[in-house]
Amino acid sequence: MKADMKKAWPHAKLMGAELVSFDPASSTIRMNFCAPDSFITPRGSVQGGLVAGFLDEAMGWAYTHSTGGKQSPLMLDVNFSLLKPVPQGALVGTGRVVKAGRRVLFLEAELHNTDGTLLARATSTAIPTINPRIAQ
Amino acid sequence: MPEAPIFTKRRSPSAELMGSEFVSFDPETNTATVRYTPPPSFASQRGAVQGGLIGGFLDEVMGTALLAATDGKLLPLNLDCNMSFCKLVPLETITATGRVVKLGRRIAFLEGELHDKDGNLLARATSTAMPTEVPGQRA
Repeated sequence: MKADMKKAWPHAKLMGAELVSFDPASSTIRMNFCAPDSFITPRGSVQGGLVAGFLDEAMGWAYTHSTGGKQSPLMLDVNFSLLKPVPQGALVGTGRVVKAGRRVLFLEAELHNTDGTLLARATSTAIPTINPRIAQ
Repeated sequence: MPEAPIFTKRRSPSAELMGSEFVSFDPETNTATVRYTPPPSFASQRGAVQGGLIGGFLDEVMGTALLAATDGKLLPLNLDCNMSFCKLVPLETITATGRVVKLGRRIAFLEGELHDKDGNLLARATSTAMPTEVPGQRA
């Protein structure tokens, strides 16, 4: 699964996305990421907007896993807060399905560095769609 | 020959990655226009830019607007950013506009939009940020 995630989608490869674990009881996923050099700004940290890439990935996979891979979220709104600069290198993402309705999903995600410091958080409103991989 | 203003040039690995190309800045409305070309590595399983990464373009163009509005002195340190995705963002050149809504001493309010080549609105964002000195520009 780990290798599969990176092989299948360019954006997941770019961000070094790897599944760590998924807890079905809480619909919570843990993922590892690696912020690439190309995401860095003159401040020496990841460009703020691109931080949303990691958060989106964690939230999206939480929902996809909670449906056994059948569905993917199509994000409508993403709101995120940047608490601390995000460094280049290893990052830990947590994504959770807050509520999955028939027509609307509410998702949330957090991004931590490897010593557990909270760097960023996000919430998203999305609609469920058939996983494009299945649809093809 | 005077050096080109900093905001007209590619200035970071992230701007480089997104194929940033400065178009114009209108000082009357504090609005910057920049073209971006998403790299193939931004593609999701839908064949469009992964939603979160759309934030990269919006952040970049809002930053360009503040930088241009302050004669290259200040860049935003984003605190909160709210984005709406109206249409899938294709892997082709898109036009972004960023505007300084209000620049205070401690906080700046910014907004950004992305349009495709036919003028369709793809995504929009608002951001609350702290204006900070451009790194490496301190006298």
